[in-house]
Amino acid sequence: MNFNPGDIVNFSVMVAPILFLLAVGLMLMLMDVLKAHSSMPLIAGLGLIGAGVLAVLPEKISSMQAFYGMIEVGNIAPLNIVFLCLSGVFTIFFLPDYLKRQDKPIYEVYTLLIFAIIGMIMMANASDLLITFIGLETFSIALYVFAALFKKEETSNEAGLKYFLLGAFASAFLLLGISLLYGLTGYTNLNDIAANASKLTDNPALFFTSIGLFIIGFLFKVSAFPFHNWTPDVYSGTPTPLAGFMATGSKMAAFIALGTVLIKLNFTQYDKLVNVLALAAILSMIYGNVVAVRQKNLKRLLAYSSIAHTGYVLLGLCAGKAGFVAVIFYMFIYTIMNIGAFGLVGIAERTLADTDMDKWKGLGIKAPYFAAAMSLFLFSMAGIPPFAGFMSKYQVFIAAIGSGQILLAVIGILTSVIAAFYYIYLIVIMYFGKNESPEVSPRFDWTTGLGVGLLAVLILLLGIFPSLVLQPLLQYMSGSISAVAAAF
Amino acid sequence: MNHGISEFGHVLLYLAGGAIFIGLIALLNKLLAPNHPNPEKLTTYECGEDPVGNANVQFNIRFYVVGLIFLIFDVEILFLFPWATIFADVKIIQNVPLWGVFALAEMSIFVVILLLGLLYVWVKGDLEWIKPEALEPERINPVPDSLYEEINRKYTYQSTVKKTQAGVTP
Repeated sequence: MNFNPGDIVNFSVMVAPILFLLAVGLMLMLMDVLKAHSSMPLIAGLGLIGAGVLAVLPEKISSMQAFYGMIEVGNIAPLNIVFLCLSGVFTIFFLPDYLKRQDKPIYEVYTLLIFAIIGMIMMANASDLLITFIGLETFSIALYVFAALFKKEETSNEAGLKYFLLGAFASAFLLLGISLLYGLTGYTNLNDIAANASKLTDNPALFFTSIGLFIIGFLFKVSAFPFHNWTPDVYSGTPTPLAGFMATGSKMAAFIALGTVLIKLNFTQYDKLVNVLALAAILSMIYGNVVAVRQKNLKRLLAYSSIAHTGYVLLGLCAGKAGFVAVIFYMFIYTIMNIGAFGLVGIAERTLADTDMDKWKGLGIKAPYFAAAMSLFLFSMAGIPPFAGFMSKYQVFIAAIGSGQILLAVIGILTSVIAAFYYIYLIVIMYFGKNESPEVSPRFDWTTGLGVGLLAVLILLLGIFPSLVLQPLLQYMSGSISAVAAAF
Repeated sequence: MNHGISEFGHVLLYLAGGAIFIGLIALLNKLLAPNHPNPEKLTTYECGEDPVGNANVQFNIRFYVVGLIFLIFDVEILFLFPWATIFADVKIIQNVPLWGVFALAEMSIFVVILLLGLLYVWVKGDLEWIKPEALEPERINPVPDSLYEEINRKYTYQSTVKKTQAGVTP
């Protein structure tokens, strides 16, 4: 028996951000029960920021994994925590205002958001496939509740049921993939599987089946092309800021987890796997962008655009280890601009009665700040410099070209031209559309104003100085944590 | 541990003992229990739903809520069992100082978190079994209620009077 209670204490210190978030979540639950509702968003936001700070606090890490190789704490793991926590913070800026406008005082949202982020962190930083799966289920269940949050509304019910049924289906694929990988190697731990990679290729058919099922499970979660069908319906039924969170935070976690597993397995040496991912990337980019052109509803438009963005990230993933930094960078930038766009749609939703695109005609004159902020996010999503969206796309394309995926990069660039059409079409509607709607215009209150301002500044800042994020990413990736600690 | 019985002998003893025990209990039940069969008792148990008819009916959502809450405590038991088996393990206690304190603290944290969950559902009112209220059909009647009461009082009084006259005590 070589068990030592001191180990567990050490490990608990290593996963302090997760434990801290857990405490915050439980506290929010108590606050909900004790009717201290008004300060819940603040506590949730501060808790997320606190967890992010705990993650990057410079400290000596004695080993790269905590809990006997279950959770990764070294390498890029602390930054993953920061990014995922930030996606939650951005969402919280828009939530209280949205729920107030909808007259739906549902305070479980904040608790669920915290628990969802715990699940995402666990999944992104897992170094054991079972932890990956548990993390996935933890945040998925929270997201199913988010989709069905307005339980009296038919669209919300539809979204919840659709997401739940298809999500459960995808989880089954993922679990079968994991169990086959276990059957092949006898391990669920990623490092052990990587060390016994020869066992994987003993039986190529079974190996490709298992890893294929695994990829299918994740492609569903990131809504890549053949598994995208749920996306528009679910996003349009989900409360708008939470749909933004769904499209960013959960996808970021899923991409990090998928990327980690594939890179540990050194997947770029198997052409078949790269081709599968490349195919999914191409089809997602083409399908998402082409179908988005025809959309009249803003939430559906953003949903299709999110399918297209998934394609771009998959393109970076195809580049293997070299593209992984680009993948995380892209997802972080996408998180900023997409939560901003969804948040603005949420603000306009109540004032303009629905999310129909025609209602936005003439907003450029009636609500100049609002329209300017939306234009900024849309320009950024279209990938126009000097906004951050350009830098993220650039990184992904460079990574793809660097790994010899020229065709992928060309298709990516061509489809982003299509994307520019529908993003800029909305801007045209806002500024040059005939103003037919009555004299109501969306307004910011101080939380949403602060949120939009912060996101807009981040978009501009990271568009001009992308190294602010890229540099730490590269440093953490190469394992020189002490250098980063000095930089902080 | 050698009583002249092999390991399979133990199993056989358990089997025999179990069969005798179950037989005894069943017999006792037959002797002591009241026996009033009725069709309601003989139906298939379906969580309180009527088992006859289309299976595609709407179930009461409260069953699921109770099921979910039950699940929490099921999981709690699931974790307590393996913990209990090693909590008093002499070998571990000898090798690891502070084992008892550590294990107890760890399990306490787990139970407290679950307790918080119970508190949450309790305060939120999910433990209440709301009984459906019988809705009285609304009647539209131009005759005011006071008239009915008048008639009732009048005739009740008379019949009582008649009965007393006939020598019957009310």
